[in-house]
Amino acid sequence: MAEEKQSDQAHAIAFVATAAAYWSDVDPPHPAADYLAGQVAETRKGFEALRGTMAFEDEPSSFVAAIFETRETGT
Amino acid sequence: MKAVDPSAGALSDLTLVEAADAVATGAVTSVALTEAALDAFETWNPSINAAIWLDREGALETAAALDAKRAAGAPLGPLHGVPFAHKDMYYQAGKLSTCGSNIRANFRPDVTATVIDRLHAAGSITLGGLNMAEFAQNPTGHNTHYGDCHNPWKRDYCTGGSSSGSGAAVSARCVTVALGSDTGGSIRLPAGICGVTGIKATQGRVSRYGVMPLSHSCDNVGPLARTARDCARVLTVIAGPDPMDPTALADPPPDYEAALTGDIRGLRIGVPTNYFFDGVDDEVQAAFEAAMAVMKDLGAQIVPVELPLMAAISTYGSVVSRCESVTIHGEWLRTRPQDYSVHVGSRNYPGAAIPASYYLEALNRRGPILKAFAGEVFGKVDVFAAPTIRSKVPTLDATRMETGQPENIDAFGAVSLNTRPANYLGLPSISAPCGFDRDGLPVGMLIHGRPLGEARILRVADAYQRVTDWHTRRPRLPDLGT
Repeated sequence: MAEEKQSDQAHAIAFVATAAAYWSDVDPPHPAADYLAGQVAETRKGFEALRGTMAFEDEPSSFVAAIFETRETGT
Repeated sequence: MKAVDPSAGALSDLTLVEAADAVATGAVTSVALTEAALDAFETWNPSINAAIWLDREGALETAAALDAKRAAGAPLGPLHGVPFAHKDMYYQAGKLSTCGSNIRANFRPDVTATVIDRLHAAGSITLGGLNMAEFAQNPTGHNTHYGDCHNPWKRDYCTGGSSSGSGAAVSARCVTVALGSDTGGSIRLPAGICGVTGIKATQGRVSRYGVMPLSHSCDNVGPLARTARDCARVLTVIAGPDPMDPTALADPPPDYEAALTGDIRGLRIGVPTNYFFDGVDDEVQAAFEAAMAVMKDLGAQIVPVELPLMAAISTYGSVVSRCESVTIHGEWLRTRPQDYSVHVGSRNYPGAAIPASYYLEALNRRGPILKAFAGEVFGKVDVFAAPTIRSKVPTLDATRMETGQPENIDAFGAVSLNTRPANYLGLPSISAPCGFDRDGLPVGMLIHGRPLGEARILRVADAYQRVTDWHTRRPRLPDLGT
């Protein structure tokens, strides 16, 4: 499990380095940046885990409309 | 109204409401309050590093003008004559606004933030710019460029961030109120960690025009103050629509102070059975439970509640602010990477590789998730509460990113676990002090409400503060020689 996590993180670090350089011309500024880049693996896993679980995937969304729809009406 | 002791130490102990009332009745002058605040900064700043700059001369000049206005019988605003200082990212035309950064070390904007205009129109004075995390980007209070901000209760410990100077300055009684900003907890963390009160209102409730952005979707402006009542007074002044900020909500705000009845009988306070207490420290848990016992004594019902969709809220919330932040900072990351501190450069960097489809998915689901969350949770409870941070207050050293040590980076990230969900959901959330740990550092509790439920969460915090004294305790000046 720990090895799999390490491998995921190494993959993420390499991917972030490539994508950030390719799309944005941004390089890792410090070893801490690589550590945080490794955490992108968790973000990806989080998105993967959510696929198909959202019952409202096709609902037109408006965050401001939701604020007013769910707003406090008492005091 | 209590009699006002005119000595500088006593003046700095007044709350905002007490100070404004004292000016209004002529019991104290604005000049005396301003001198007391400036003196307090002079005394405290060498040990806590809360202020980046102060405009002593300008503040005293404004205070004298406000005293003259009162003497002439002019109508007075609700903050008349009271000195504030703010996180150094609120623009005032022609005045320094460093944003805690090297990149903006000499930045003097040509506009003034709407909230600053509103505070000044209500009679407050701005003393200067307060220390903060560089570009509002850390939850701890570290700052490489201007020096770390130190907790007034114990200077080796974090203040919380990113509104570090705001939390420290209010806690040390340098000012009664300081504006902070909150994208993932940056008002509520320094409030909780420094032992003061801070509120993040509903997303869009307060204009952000003229405030350095971090995340357009999740940024919020709000006060840190000693009491919920002080927060209510300031929020009433700054909230409301603003033609300069199209994201500001259109309907006018209520008088939040008028809602502070002290009565929370029958109110259902939810205590989450998931997420917010994962790995919580025993001392923090004990302080929180004691606070809930007080709420129960006040007539509230304490209701365990399972919060839905927390995995989605965490996952999506983390993507929104990272992608928006790297968009704002992209040009400087390319052209001036050496001018960023380790933690800000490192924090922004991964955002450059997150796909746009993830970002849009996170934004598109925000409304439906809010509706589903609010429908389920607020059908069962009126508000829900949790500790502001799950751990005891960490030291500055234990959360220093520059070491590159994974444990430091993880501890750094863990500080904001409990505050972040309210930013993605856009919920109003207040942090109020509810005790101290055995190290003598404050413990804070969060109270979250429905969208636009600021009056209710302020009422809960105010009711609690009427029967407890955590918010009245003040730190002692540390001995720098030891």
